[in-house]
Amino acid sequence: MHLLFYSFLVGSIGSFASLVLTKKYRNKFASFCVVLEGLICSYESLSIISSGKTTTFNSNQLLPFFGIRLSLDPLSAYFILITSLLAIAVGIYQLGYIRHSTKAKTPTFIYPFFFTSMVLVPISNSVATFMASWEIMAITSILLVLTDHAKNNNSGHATQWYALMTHLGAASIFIGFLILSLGTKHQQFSSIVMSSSSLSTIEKSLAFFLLFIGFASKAGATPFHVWLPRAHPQAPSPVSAMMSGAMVNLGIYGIIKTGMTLIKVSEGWWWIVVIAIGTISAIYGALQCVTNSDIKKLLAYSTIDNVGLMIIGIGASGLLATAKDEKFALFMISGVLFQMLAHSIFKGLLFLSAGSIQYSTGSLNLDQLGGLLKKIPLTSTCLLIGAFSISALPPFSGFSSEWVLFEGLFRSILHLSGVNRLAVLFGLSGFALASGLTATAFVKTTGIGLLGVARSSHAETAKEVPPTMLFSTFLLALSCLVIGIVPGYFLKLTMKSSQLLFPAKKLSPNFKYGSIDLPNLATNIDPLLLLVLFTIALLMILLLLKAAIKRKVRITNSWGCGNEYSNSKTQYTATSFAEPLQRVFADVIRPDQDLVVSHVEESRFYVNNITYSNLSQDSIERFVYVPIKRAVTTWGKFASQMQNGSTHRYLSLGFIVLLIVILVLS
Amino acid sequence: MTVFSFTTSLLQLIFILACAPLLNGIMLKLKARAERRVGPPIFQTFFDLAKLFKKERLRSQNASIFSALAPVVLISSTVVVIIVSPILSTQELFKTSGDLFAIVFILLVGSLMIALLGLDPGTPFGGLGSSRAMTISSLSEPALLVSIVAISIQAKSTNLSTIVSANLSHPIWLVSPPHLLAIFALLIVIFAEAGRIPVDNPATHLELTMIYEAMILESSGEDLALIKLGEFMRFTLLLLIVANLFFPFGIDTQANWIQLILSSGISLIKLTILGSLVTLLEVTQAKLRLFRVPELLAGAFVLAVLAVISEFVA
Amino acid sequence: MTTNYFSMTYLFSGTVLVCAIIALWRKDIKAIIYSVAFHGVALGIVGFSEGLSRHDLALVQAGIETFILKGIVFPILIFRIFNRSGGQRDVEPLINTTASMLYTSLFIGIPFFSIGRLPYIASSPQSKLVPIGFATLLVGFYILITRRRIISQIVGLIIFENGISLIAFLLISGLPLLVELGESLDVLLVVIVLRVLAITIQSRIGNVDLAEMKELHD
Repeated sequence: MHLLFYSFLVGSIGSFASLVLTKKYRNKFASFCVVLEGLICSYESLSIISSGKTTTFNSNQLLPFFGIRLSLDPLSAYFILITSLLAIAVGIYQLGYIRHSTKAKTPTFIYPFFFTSMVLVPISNSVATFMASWEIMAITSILLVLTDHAKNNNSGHATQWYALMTHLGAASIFIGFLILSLGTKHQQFSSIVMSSSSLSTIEKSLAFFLLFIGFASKAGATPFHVWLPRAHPQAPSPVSAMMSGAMVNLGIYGIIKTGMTLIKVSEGWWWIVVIAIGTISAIYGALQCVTNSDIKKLLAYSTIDNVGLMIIGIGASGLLATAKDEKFALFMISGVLFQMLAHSIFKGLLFLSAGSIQYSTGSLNLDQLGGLLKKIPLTSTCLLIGAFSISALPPFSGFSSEWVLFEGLFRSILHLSGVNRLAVLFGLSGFALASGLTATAFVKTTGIGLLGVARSSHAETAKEVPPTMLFSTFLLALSCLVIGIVPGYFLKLTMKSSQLLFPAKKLSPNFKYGSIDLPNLATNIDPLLLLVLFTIALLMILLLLKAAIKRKVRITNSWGCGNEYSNSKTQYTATSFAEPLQRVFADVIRPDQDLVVSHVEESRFYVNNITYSNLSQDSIERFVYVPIKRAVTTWGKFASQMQNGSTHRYLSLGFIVLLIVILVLS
Repeated sequence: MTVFSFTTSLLQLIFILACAPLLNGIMLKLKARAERRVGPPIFQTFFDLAKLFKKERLRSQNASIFSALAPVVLISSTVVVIIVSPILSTQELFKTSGDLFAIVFILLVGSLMIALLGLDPGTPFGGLGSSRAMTISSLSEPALLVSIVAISIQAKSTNLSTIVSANLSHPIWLVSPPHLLAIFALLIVIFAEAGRIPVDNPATHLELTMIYEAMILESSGEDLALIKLGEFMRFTLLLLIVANLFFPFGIDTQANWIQLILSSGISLIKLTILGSLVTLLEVTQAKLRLFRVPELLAGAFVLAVLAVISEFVA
Repeated sequence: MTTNYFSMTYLFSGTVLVCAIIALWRKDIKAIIYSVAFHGVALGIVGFSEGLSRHDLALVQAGIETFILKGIVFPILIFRIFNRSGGQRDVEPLINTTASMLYTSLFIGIPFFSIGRLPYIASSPQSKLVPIGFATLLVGFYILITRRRIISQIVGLIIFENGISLIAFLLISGLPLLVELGESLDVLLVVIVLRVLAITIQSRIGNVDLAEMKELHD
């Protein structure tokens, strides 16, 4: 525990030093401090997970009235581990990523605090401490999203959405906690856990759903997601990576903490609602991910999709726990945590690679990229590995984690009954559709962005990024591969961390060479073996071909129906790639399509020019949030009429309120 | 890992390598006969492949390393699946690794590679093909995974060998409605994934309708040969897996050498029967419009869901 | 022996439901009529095998009756309407087929998990199949709701009614002969009346689209 405090100190030193140091050393020193902080935190969390002990820290001085209550257990250590691993990579990446020379002070100053707050959230052990660190996290991330606001008009707008949603979420969490605290007469989490049985069912359900909504909005679950695809892409790429890879996890942490520890005995139907929300998020996120052409926006939507998968898993685990099948509940939740690890790493990798592409081409719009694999091969390879991981291709991390999720859902279907089983079945169907759509989305991203011919002069002149940025993305790419090849070691880690949720049951994992092999599953995977077989097959075929055929390849033009053309505009674009799916799901996506053909004046058989626009907006935003916003605005106008500046009116309003309060109290 | 299991896996590989072009030849011949044509000899596919291997390899100047890598990866991923799945015997090498979910995703590696290959040379055709292929593949995923769940429920395992052995010891499961429904859904998905007729016509080169052929339009020479061979192998493999799920009799379970040899003969018969059924379907059915394919796959999904639900009824 | 009868009942009850779904799935009217014919045949076999397993002559009789009436007579009648009305093959449902299939997958599961809780259903193995009947009934109802053409509506009605018969076959030893006969005749009557109507309307306004028939209301 104390090591964590030292790490916070290191981070703060870095951030304050960045205020005084000269431009040359500022960034380097701050990044160094963040990396060091990350290293210390990951060391500490690893040791906590392996020892399985819980350490606490209480102080009455630091925060007025309530004091600070911290507790570091294996579960929170696991979240800290993911956050700090990502922070290390991002810290290294930032060394090379100084484009904001004018504004460089603010992000380097705030970033360590953002990281620190993300470590503080999972170790908070009382309502007050939790809300305080939650707010620090929200505010620092809002400031970080605003980094580019001078250059970019959108970021202000995005920040408004983000600030609004995050505070509504915080309010919902706060009310939920209040209900729990009032019902149990405690504000420390460990005491709430002890006396949660004294709550009535209605209180519990209300608290659960308020907390769930608040945490789900931080995690970006549909329909509380609208801020996410706006805010995540607007931040600088390292910050986007942290937000999508680490901050979102804390929403998941909140859901797990609420449903599985704070409120001990849960009701089955809560989890059915949770699965429904998860399924909707997975499908909706994946659909929007397919249809968007902006790399970072697409990545943000795929975060929603992955969060959906995790929430489905949490729901299934909760159902298993209520059905007293704790063994598989434990397996399922370990799968969720494993998926979270895999997601954090590959999403970090993808966001950082996207940042590198923006760095070297100046554009993130897929319709302007193309042919990058030849121009910037190293960055492109990293992006490819990220894309393969997220598409769940073996032997990368996404495959192993989704396998565990699938296997867990399959076991849930076997072991549950009635409506619960049906709910998990639909969760599984949503999972399947989302994984298919994700594969399509990332074939689009890599195929359109990296292959083919450059679609603009930016892409034509792309240059490789500085070595520190490359190093960081390579580190993450390597982690994707390692997690994918020896998933057993990592699953063991997640099982150890989640053991605390179901202390009664113990799975005894016997993972030889990192394969996943549990006696209760009656099946296993061994990605290492698959990889070895694959490599042998690949090498044999290549050798055979080399021995048999000695002809060289002749390089020619692409075939153009008999014409010779070298026009990059005839290629498929990202928009056209997604068009069939957009049409299939038109009812959900509701694209705005517009085709304007103007003719030559003399004859209408000759076309002068054709304009085609295809805009897909977030339909949930359009059909849910915009009406709400309109209603709020109307109400605001009404309120502003009441507020006409006359002191007498304000006083009389106060008087009326006082009267009402007295009436209600009596 | 015994001598037997090693031989089994090797034999499976050789069997599929030999049968895949043969099956294609038989199907082409049958199709021709059904249309009152003479048709090519049944070994024609071998000659075609040999010819392609001899031909010069052209590659687009825009192409990257994917054009060279994709065909080889396609075949290697298929080979991995062949080695770990029970085709001739349930005593195959690394039998515990033949997990159905894993198999689906290993095969997906090959599909994604071909989709990327389509986008590699930067031509409109390739993009058209891979866009359509990925659309179909992503829409077929729910039906595929749910039918896998349905098939696995009775054996309580998603491991292919375990399922086949369990079905063999409880033959009554094979004719239960859930099993039949699941197999039917799985067949529809396989038709979609393998690009057979209600979804895609492998014999067409019309840009309005082609899907698979559009992606590999730029490939030539040994690249094309490898892709074609890989496709035949995948189709044969999928048919054999379905055959073993639907009618596992004849497969070796006891590590018996004689049974293993018999099993290859029986598998060839199963393959021919299934291939003829597929041909029959291809001759009698018209290709669906691209935007009618989702209806087909949604239907398969409903059947798969129904299979899972009814699994718990009786 | 009874287990064999049971698996037969199970298989053909399943067929009844699947045929109903196929009728919803396909757009080709011919295919729909064939699937309804098959549907009736399967229902007849269910009655037949249940009757044999329970040594209930009335049930066997009802099964044969259903087989002939619903598997052969009705489809032929519908075919004749179809041929008279001629031409238009495609039925355009109010909700597109893909969406319909997804909704179906949602509501089909419900009876399986809710009917089992009803207290008055005996715990015989056959009663476990009752949800299939309910699901069939729901599918029939759904077809009735979403289809425009009269033929498809008749198909929906028949499927609906077959769902009820299936439940009856499974739970009690079939409906009493008289009721069954009366009901079948009822449907037959409806078919004939609708047929006459359809042909008349067809000859008057040249279309049998229900949505367009709204205009006749005024």
